[in-house]
Order: sequence, then C-alpha cells, then structure tokens
Amino acid sequence: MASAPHHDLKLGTTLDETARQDFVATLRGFVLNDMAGDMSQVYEQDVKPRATREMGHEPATASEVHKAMRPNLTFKMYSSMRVNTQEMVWDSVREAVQREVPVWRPRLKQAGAKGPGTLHLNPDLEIPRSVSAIDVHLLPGNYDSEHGPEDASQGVWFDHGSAVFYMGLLGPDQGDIGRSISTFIKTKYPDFSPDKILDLGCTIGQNTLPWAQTYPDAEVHAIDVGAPVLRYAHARANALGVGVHWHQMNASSLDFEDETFDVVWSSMFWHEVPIKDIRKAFKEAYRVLKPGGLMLHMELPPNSTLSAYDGFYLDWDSWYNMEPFYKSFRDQDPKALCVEAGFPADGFAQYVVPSVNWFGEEATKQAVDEQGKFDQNTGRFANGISWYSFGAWKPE
Amino acid sequence: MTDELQLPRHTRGKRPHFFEDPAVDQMMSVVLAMAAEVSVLYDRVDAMQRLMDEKGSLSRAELEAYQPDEAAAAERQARREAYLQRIFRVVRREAGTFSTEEAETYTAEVEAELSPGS
Repeated sequence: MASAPHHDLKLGTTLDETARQDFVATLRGFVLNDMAGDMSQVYEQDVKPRATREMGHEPATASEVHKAMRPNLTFKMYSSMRVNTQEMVWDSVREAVQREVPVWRPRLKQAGAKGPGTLHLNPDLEIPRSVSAIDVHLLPGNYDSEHGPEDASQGVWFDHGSAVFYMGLLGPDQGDIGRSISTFIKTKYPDFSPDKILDLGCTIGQNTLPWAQTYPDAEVHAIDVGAPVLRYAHARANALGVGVHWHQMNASSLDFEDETFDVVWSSMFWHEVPIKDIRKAFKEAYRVLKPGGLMLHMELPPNSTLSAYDGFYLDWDSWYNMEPFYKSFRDQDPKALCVEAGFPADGFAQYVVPSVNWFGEEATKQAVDEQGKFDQNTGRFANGISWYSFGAWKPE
Repeated sequence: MTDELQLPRHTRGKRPHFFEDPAVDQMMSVVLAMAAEVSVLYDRVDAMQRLMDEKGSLSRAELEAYQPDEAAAAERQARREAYLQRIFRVVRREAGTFSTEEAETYTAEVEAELSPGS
C-alpha cells in the first residue's frame, strides 16, 4: 500500500484518493511481479528461440532483446500497463497537491524561514534541456516547472507521488538509499569523518538528509537545477529538523572552491544526465574534493554486469519512461568514467549495499566485508534489494 | 485567500505507444482508469459496510474520514490483488503452461485430426 511521507508537510487525502493510490500501488505490484515474470517466461519459451533462429545467434545485447520482444503481445501489454501505471502514480496525487498546496503555502514559507538549513536560488541559472524539455519519469512539469511565485508544487508532487511509486519500500522518509550507503561507509571506514558533504542532483533531498544524520557534525550542501524541488527540499528538511544548505546549481559547473568537500555524493542521478555533462560533472567532483576525499554515486548497475535480458529489462525505462539518457549511462564503464575525470585507477571503488529498510541496519553493517557481489537483486526490487554504488578516492 | 493552483495533466513530449493502432493504447488507458475507479468504489462500499457493522449507523463525515485498521487494510489489499488477477486474466495467457509454438503445433494437429479429409 502507499505510504505517505512522515512530516508536517504531509498532504491530506480524501477517502477516494487514498483508495486510488492504493489501487495504483497494487497495480504496480501486479505489473512488476506477475507481468514481468510472464514476460521473462515468454522470452525464454518463445521469443528467444525464434530470434535465435532468425538471427543465427542468441540475442546478445539489451537492444537485440528489445528488438526481438517488440512484436510480442505480452511485451506490449506489460509495456502499455507500465506506462499507464506510471502516469496514474502521478495522477493519483495531483488533485491533492492542487487542493492543499495553495492552503499550506504559508506553512511552507514558515518551514523554509525557520532553519536550521539555508536556501540559495539562482534565477539566472540556465536550466539544461535534459530537464526543461522533457518530463522525466512521466511527471507532468518535471522538477523545474513553476506555477506561481515561489512555487514548490512540483517538489510536493514528486515527493507524494514517489511514496505511491515505492510502495513504502524506501522507508517512511524515502531515504533508504542514502541511509543504507552512508551507514555502510561509516561502518567500513570508521576513521573517515567528513567535515563537508555535497549531494549532486538532490531533488527533494530524500537521500541527502540521511548523510546529515549519519554524520551529524558534517556541514551538508546539496544542489539541483530545479527551484521548486529545492524550495520543497528546504522546507521539508527544516520540518524534519535536519540542517542542509540547498543551492540551485548545475553539477557540470559548480560554484564551489577547489578542495572544499570530503564527500561528493549522488543517488539515482547520472542516468538522467547526458553523457557529455556527466564527464564534466565528474571532473568538477574531482576538483571540489579535498585530497583523501570520496566521490560516491548510487546508480543502477551497469549493463556489463547484467545478462542481455536483464539489461533489456532495465533499459525499458530509457525507451518508455522519458529517461532518454538512462541507457547511454548504463552502457558506460563506471571505472573509466572516474579515471577520465582524474581519479587514479586504484582509487576506484564499488559497493553493493543491502537495504537498511529491507534487511535491517545490522545486515547492512555486516556487508562491509562482502562488497562487490552482484546478483539478481542488485539495483532492483525483487526479494530484497541491494543498492549499487561506485566512485573513487582522491589521492592524499 | 489562496491562489488557485493548476497542475498539468499531460507530459511534454511524445507518449509511447505499443499497438499498431494508437486507439488501442488509448483504450488501455481508459480500461485501467475504469479499473481504478471500480476499486475506489469497492473500497468505499467496504468502508460503509465496516462502519455499519461497527456502529449500526453511518454518517457522511465518519465515512469520509474512515481509515482501516491493520486487519481491514490487509483484507482490502488481498481483495485488490485478487481483483487484478480476475480482470487481467487474459493478459497472462501467453505465459501459461503452453509455449505459443507448442500451442500452434497442437492446434494444427487438432485441426488436421478434425478436418473431414483425415
């Protein structure tokens, strides 16, 4: 069932809206479990043998599997239902956002003003077309549309829709990714105590706050290009009593001084960014890191670690969920990206971290000795999830 | 006084489609939206029945504020899951016990068996 965010800025929903959200969450379960299972079975029993006969070899890449699957009826029904489900996720909270946000604008403003965090918007920032020209994840208006002065609606919409989308799997504050990985790093490197942490592409800050909570003495900064999501991130963090400094800034061109941060973190970000901007941003991350600092990104696992079919299954979002850069990112070699940005090859690190929300904090801590194990649960929801992350240490 | 907020209903960019005739894609959207509304109605009726059982009467305010307890929420969830299996029975056909190729062969054999010349 849908799980609403736990803080003062929680939308009130009517009886019917709750029922609609519960339906959509259940429908997602049906599509992602039953229909996805059917599709994989149909691939094995029908599509793969046929494609192998026609091509003279088994489909070897995600794109070849996609091509073979496209005419298949189960693929069409799965895909059509998944697109609709995604649209219905956002639609199931749209009316509540429309009704409630005008009423609690003063509350948002108050939460924004009271601290402990600060907000720094830059109205002159050029919004990249990868954000302004499309609606990522099929959320109408994306992270950047403003529907009035000082508007935060898209952030509110994104937060409450995400709660329906993730069906409560990321915990009540949706911070499971940041919580699992920061807990893992703190356990694995007990002597590493960052003073300054930066989050890139933070949206509403759900995975920023856990870093501030794991390292309560650190000064935490977070950037995004979208003003509405930052306004909401700021108000939401203050409502939860967590101090973060929010900046409207592009990760490819940071306004911070060289050697400012001990950790440069991001989550679920690069797969929405064009590859040329990723290369610039990794160089920027290297620049703003202190010697001995860690760049760390939680992402979907790279295609090279997956079978052709599993690659196709994840690449689906690139083709049909308005995430056009998803595939080109996942086709990259994470280590090569880090080395190109200036990190030494032996500084490269990748971790597969069991979810705290799913397995409990102890399991996450125990995993410090078993890093790097990929299995069918890596980066996706199945019978338990582990988060994939990669990055590099800057030399002392 | 509050300013009215109007959020967009549609995404920018081309909507993906999967069927030869885009009307089929639109009909799928309508069917799914209708399925959602039936489920919403069911939950409302369920809330009415539970309140009636509990209190013997029903007020509009109580109904609109109804929140299921854990046991009721689990029953309602199980109902939703079974409901989806019923209404989408046919879309799971292809992944049934037969592969399509086996089914085609079987059908051809049956037709040959039944045809008058055999």
